[in-house]
Amino acid sequence: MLLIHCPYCAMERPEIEFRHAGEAHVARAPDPSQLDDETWAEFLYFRSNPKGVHAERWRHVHGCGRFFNALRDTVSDRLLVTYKAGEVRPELPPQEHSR
Amino acid sequence: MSAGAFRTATGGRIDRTHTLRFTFDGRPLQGCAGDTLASALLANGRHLVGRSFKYHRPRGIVTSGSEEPNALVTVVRDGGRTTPNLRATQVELYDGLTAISQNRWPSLTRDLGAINDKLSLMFPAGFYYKTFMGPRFLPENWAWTKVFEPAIRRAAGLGRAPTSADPDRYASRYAHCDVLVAGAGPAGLAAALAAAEAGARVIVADEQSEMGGSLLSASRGAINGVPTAQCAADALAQLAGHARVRLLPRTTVFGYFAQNMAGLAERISDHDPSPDPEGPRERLWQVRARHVVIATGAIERPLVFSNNDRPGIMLAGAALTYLNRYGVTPGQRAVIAGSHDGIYAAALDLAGVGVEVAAVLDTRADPQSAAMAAALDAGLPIRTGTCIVGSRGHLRVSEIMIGAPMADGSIRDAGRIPCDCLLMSGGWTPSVHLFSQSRGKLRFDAAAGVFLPGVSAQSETSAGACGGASGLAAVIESGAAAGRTAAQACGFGLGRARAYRVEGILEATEATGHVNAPRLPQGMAKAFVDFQNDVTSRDLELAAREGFRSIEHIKRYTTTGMATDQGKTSNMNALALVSGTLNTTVPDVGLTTFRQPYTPVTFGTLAGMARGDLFDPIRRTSIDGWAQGKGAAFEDVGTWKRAWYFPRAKEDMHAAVARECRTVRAAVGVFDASTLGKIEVVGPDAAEFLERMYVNAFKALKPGRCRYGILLNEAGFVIDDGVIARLAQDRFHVTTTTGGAASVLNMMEDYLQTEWPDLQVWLTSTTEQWAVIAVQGPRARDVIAPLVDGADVGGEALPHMSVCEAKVAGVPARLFRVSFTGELGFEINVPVGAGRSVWEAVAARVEDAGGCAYGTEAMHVLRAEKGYIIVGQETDGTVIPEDLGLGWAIGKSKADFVGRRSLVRPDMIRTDRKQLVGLLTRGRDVLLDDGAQVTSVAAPAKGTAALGHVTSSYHSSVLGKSIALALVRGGRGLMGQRLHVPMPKGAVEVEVVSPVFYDPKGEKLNG
Amino acid sequence: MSVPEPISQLSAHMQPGRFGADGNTPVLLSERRRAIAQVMGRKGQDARLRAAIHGAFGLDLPHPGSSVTRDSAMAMWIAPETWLILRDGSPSDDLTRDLTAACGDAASIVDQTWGKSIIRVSGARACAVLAKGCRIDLHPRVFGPGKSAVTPIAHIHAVLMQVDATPAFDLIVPSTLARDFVEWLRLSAAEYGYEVVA
Repeated sequence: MLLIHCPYCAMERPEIEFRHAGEAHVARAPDPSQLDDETWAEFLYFRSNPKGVHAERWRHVHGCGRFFNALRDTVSDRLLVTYKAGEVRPELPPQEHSR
Repeated sequence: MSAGAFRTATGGRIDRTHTLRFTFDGRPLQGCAGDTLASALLANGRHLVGRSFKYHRPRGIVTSGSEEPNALVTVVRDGGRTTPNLRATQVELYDGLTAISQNRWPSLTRDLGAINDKLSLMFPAGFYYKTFMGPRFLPENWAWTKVFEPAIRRAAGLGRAPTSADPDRYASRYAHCDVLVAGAGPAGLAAALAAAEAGARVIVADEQSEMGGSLLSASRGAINGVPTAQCAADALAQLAGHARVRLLPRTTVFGYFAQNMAGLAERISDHDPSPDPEGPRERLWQVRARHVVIATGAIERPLVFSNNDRPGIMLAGAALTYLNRYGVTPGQRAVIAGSHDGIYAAALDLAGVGVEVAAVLDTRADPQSAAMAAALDAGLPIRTGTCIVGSRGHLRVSEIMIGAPMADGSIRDAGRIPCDCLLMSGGWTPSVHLFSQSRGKLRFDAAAGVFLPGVSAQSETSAGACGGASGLAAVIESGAAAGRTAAQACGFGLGRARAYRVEGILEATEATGHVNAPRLPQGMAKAFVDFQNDVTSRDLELAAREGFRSIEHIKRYTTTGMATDQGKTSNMNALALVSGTLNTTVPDVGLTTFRQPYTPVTFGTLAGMARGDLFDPIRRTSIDGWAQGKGAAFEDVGTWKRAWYFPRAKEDMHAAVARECRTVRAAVGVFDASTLGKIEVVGPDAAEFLERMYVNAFKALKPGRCRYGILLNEAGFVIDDGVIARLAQDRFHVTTTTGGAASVLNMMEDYLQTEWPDLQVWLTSTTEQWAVIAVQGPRARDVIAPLVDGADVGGEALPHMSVCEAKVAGVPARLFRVSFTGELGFEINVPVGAGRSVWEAVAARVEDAGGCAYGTEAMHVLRAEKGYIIVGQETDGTVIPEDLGLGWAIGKSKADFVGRRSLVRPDMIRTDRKQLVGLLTRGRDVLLDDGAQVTSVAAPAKGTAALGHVTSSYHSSVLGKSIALALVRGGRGLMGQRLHVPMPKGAVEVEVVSPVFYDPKGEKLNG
Repeated sequence: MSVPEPISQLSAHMQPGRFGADGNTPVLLSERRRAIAQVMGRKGQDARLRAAIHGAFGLDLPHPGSSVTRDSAMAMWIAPETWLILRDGSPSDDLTRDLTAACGDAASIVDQTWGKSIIRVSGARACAVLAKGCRIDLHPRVFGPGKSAVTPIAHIHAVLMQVDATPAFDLIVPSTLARDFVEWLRLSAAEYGYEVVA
């Protein structure tokens, strides 16, 4: 039911075109063999699951096919901002997530 | 008199010349065109229409709209169409309508279930939680499941759902507009006009058959000189003149969702005596609006007093609507009571058509208003400072008891008044449902004693009575202003504001009215708050006494507001009662959440066209038609229809599969493998990319060669496999499992886009582009060789696991030498458009060579004979390549690939992991169950962990015995040992063997 | 041996005829046969690719949400640096070869001629038919000729483009789902009446 702004199509499109893809900014190590078991398990299985603003990945799977990132308020279920993969997490103006 | 003894001679919007016949509980009655079932029943003097949910008390029509708590009926049509729980106040009358009452046996007037009313001490608030604890010596829940629940289900309830499939069609539609107006009463119409005139695309939805809302019930006054009742038609005509306005009558805005998405349920044909059988019955609208004007009005509240639920007792506003819109009087001798000026307008209008007004009772000690003055002028018997304390009557009210509230809170008896109807008004509750659904925050208006829209969460405006406007002039003004605001929010200019001059209306000074719920004398009689769920004032007081404080808890404990009407008429009374009992304020008690849908929506409407074959898309290969022509049985594999087996005369599945398997092993078979997922991986870094994705080494793979690829997830578990062919230095043809095609492509895109964006690689799904014809068996080469042009299919030129481009049957093809049967095999990939013709050419030669087409079941058996895994069958998301004996596939010199790091985690290198083995039963025909547990002894003690489970089990006609694959703890170290497989009919002893049952040396691959 | 002519998956399911309700303005349904190729521009090669496509086809590669037509060829944006190129003529026409020759290493090309089916829906009620399964606003104020969208319609991944103001739309769907999609279109159009045309 949501409308989601795809940063690649530069358009708002219906939620059904998108698929959630987990937490954002969890980078795979360039050489995982250098990591100890605990660090690797952390990467595999542990996610932040915050109450409030959450950086997460979405894919415009039934549209342009791009993965991108979004800041979503997990309390209000509002997507506050979306941005392209590889871009740094944007700062939100204070009022955006105070609701 | 035509169409009912309680029909006025003139007036109203019904057509007295057009009589409609209908039956209620089998009794033939007559109504008029324009009637609802409720108005027609009332015109015939019928107030009693149903029995209550819990106590089976006789109940009558209380309201004139969708908020009706009592008058639920079942409407029966031809062809198995039965719709229970329809509100008679919304059912439009048509000729031949058949309605029956609910929750009574044997009849409405003599209902044995009414004994519940006498046993009501058994059913206090929370009785579900108190009563059904069985004796301790009985098993847990025994008393509930065996005794209480069946009894309660029989005794309590609503209508019965039909048992046959719904024969009707349902439609759905997505729509977009600038302004959605919910409700076409005076506020909604003014808003729609203002928005449309500013240039906006407008959708107006109203739940009634005729738009106009309260204007349709108006008996006096004028707007801009036009009689009030005529104004709706004028406004609608103007709206209809705008091409960008869509008017949706009979359409309920039932849900307000995120980002101004609204769900609308349109009832298209239920009012039609002979609906178009091809046409839809109902339509779901999913509307995305840039701004929403909520103009849903207000709902009148009943008064709470002992026995306030007798037939003949209805809301004053409803009585006005029946009188002025339908030309129906509620009785011959009326008492009108309330705490609100609306009672005077009702009394005046009823007196005007000759109904005897026995009394007008105003609970207020000293009301002062123009409406009251008018009633006094008309000589109506008005008693102020008077309330109702009870009623008498059997199936209809015959008398009311009145009292005078004293300063100490007690009520002094003030006598009795005989009557055949009581019209009550406890004030009006703004319909803030949609605003609340939009996640807007409500605020409590202490002065008016109601909840009103507070802080908006979305782009919407509440207009008219639901926004707190009081009086017709204010309602219209707020509607027009909302329409202009809405258009402006959508980027249109403000434009010229229309002027509305309202005259001659009996305006109430206090539109909403304070909730009037005096403390009641203790006694046996029940004062109902929630009519539909039979919740009394005493239930609520009891819940408060037992310690419940929040209305959210009280609601669930007493079930107040939890019926199909969601407490539209009762919630405010419940809040007032509870806050009074707890000696606190209404906002302190809280407000329960308003949820979608506003009124019940049929499952058919929600399902729309997505049923039967259109429930889920069906995918078919280009060879599907051929297989159908051959009488193949099909199985669903994901969304695909796949040929399962090709039975010949008198063959059952077992015989057909056995023959197909034997034929492939002995001669040749042809198989439609088009459903395999196919991904074209192209670009300068394609080999590097696949090397990182799959466990195998791909950089060293030469063009023209194939490799069996295994794909892990990052946790190290096998998630897909398939043959990967290198077509050129920068181009690979990757195949995936049928079910994994989309998820593998998704995973590849994920890594490519987000982890390794520097790689020059592009991915395209080509699953739909290529038809895949597998030819397998010792005679496979003989079959295809004459069809191939431009390539040598000999064993040296095209060895196992290689690919070439050639023409097959004249069509450019990618020709693979691969095998999923252990036999010499080829897979011919041709463009889908040529799939059928190439298949037919190949199949003809297969037939000539003594071969046959085979289906997915034979394919499964053949691969199991060879111990080839199927992802999702031998794997379950916890299996690593080593478990499957596929460790050889891993590129040992590779620094990294997806999942590699996980393969050396402590749990992954244990030697007692479950490993793929074969199982043979002692009896050659004993077939193990897929998924059966594998244990060390035949009857393990309770709590013993299984050693593993059977992953695949088939009867092998080629080997003449049953075979099974299993994952067994440390299985490769158990070769030759005896284990057990407990099955429903007893444990089966099995021997652990190699998973390769057939041709263990792999010699057949070379033909 | 004679070379069989490729056949559409849909031929048997789109026999011409008039169906559904009576009416003066039936919805028209037809299958369009065109060669289709997916063009994926390589990184840093955008200008070269655009020049190559312009030179070979006279097409200026379009922006998100739009398509361009020139003579018998059409290009539509479907993803960043990714376009579908369609060309009239029989599908056996080797569009892929022409594109590969024109683009060189500025793009990767994959033939999709048989992976996709193209269905044209036109007539005054075309929008109403599509609105039963398409969540995109097709109103002339929002959409129009030359606009396109990639979006699921009736649960099927579709590429939608408006051809003209009739309105006429071309819908590109996966070929294995085309039959199912046509069944849905037929059911959707039945209440207005529809005609399957060759």
